[in-house]
Amino acid sequence: MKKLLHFLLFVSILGTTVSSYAVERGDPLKGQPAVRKRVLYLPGRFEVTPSVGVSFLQDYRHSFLVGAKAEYHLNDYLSFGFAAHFSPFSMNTGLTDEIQATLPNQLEDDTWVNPTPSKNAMMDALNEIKLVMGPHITYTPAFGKMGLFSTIFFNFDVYFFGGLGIVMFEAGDLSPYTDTPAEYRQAVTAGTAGQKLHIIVEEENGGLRFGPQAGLGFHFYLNSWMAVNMEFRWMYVKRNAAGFDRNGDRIYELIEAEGMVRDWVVVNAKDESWENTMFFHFGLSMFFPQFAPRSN
Amino acid sequence: MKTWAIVLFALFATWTLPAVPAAHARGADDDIIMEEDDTSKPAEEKPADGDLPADTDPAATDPAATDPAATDPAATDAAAAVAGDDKDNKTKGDDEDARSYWSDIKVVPRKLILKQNRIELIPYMGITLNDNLIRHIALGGEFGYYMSDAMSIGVGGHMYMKQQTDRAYLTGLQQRVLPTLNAYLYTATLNVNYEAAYGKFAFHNKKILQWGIFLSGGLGVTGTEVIPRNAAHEPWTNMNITIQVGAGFRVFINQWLTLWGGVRNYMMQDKFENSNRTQPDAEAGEKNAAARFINNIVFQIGVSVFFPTSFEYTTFK
Repeated sequence: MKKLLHFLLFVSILGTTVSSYAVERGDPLKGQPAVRKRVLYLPGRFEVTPSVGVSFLQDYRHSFLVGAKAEYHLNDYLSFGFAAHFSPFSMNTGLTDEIQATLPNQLEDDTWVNPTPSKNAMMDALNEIKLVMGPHITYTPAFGKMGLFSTIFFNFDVYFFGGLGIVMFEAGDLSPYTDTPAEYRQAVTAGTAGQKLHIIVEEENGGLRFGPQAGLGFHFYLNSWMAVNMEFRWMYVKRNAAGFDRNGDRIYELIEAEGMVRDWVVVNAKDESWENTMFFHFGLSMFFPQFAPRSN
Repeated sequence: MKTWAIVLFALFATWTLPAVPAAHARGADDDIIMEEDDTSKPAEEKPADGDLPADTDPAATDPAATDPAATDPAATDAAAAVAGDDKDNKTKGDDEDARSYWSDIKVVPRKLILKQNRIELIPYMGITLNDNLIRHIALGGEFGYYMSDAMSIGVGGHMYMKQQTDRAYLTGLQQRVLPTLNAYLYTATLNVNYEAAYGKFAFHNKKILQWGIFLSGGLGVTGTEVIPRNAAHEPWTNMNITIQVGAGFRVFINQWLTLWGGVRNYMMQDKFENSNRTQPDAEAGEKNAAARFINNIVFQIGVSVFFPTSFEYTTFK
């Protein structure tokens, strides 16, 4: 009986002690950083990223871009910078080719009745992206690493940015294909009227346009100071990509020689509309200073 | 009397002893030096590109780890951090106590989800990306079976709802051209998906999420319907053999749920109204249809649910 009592007391003490020990231990990871001893690629570093890019989801012309981005990283999460890209050349979209294929080679004889533009008139009216730039603020909330085919392992981060977007469009030129009321009167008098579109271009569809920009991107780090940069950039700007009238406004003129009133379509800034303009960039980011410290 | 003395002593010990290890544990907690990130000074150890060696060779750390990408930098780095900080501990006894905590932390944690022999259901919605004149919203789903942890076979499909864009209207107004358009009706494909990349990321260096990138290929059919230029003509439909290629990602939420997204190109040879505008009726239009190769690129996003919703790991922790 005595031995049994001693045994029960021993078990009681042991059990109570062990259980309380386990309860009181706590989680040593609680509140600690998820990753320690990691390479700090961003804080206090200057980033330069030369890149090439291409627009997509464009209606008429895809623009190819060459340029660079400069950015200073205040800390792990925030940075600010400026990007500028020039478009040395562009190419038709599928829609442009389809439209062009159905248009006549030259303007119709009676453009009052059938004002269908010719192939060249349609192409010359288009505006093109020549320069894309703007300041931005970047937020980098996440970093990580991944394995590709369980073979290649690399670090990456993902960032989001927003700012002011500035797009410079090269204007189309419809002037060889159009006439004004005064020119038409002269042509009627001279007997040479015809094969002109009756469009008054008050404002060209080129120049600088401003709007918001936003996007997201990835850095895939090759070493402590170089990374492959992939970036999606969205801009929202006003433009008249086709270069023709959109809202149907026109002016009416009495043509005395014909004894009738004619109407001219007006192309101006009111024919512009807000459009999504999107780009994909692929570049090589270089960080300075080249040494990247590690966290504790 | 002696027995009662023992009983009283034992009761005293039962009440007081638990406080000793608890206080000891708190003291040990205090002794673990967990410095905040300091960006101002270089680390003392040799800076290696990427991460700690244990991360780059998980098999060396844990023979049970079959997927190197399943290594956890958090745990690895944390364990290494403690090892590095041991010199700051005051006594050897405290060192051992501190290590006793960290010994519970796995250097190579398991993947969050094992997919082999599980079924995946993916309800998703999508939007077509590459047609300037007509946009489609897609609603559908995919059913897949994982033959291995990386490869699955399945069947998927969606219905489309069409929306003509402003440009479709403006093309008629500005270029005096009536566009030739087909509306998509449905797509159904047999798919093979392969998870080509697996990784993880830390959100604000606090929460670690695992994610993967998959490649997809498949074969199926797409139904389309001609939108006649002449509104008096009846539309006619096509059923086109479709080849699907794509890529996407998953962010793992728990053992049975992921956020899922992807971009897939459904390629087909579709038939359109002939650009010759003199079709007298719909029959003649269908007979003189013009074939054209179409890339129908669809961005899809949804959730994926794995069944059974739980599973057992096959390797030791």
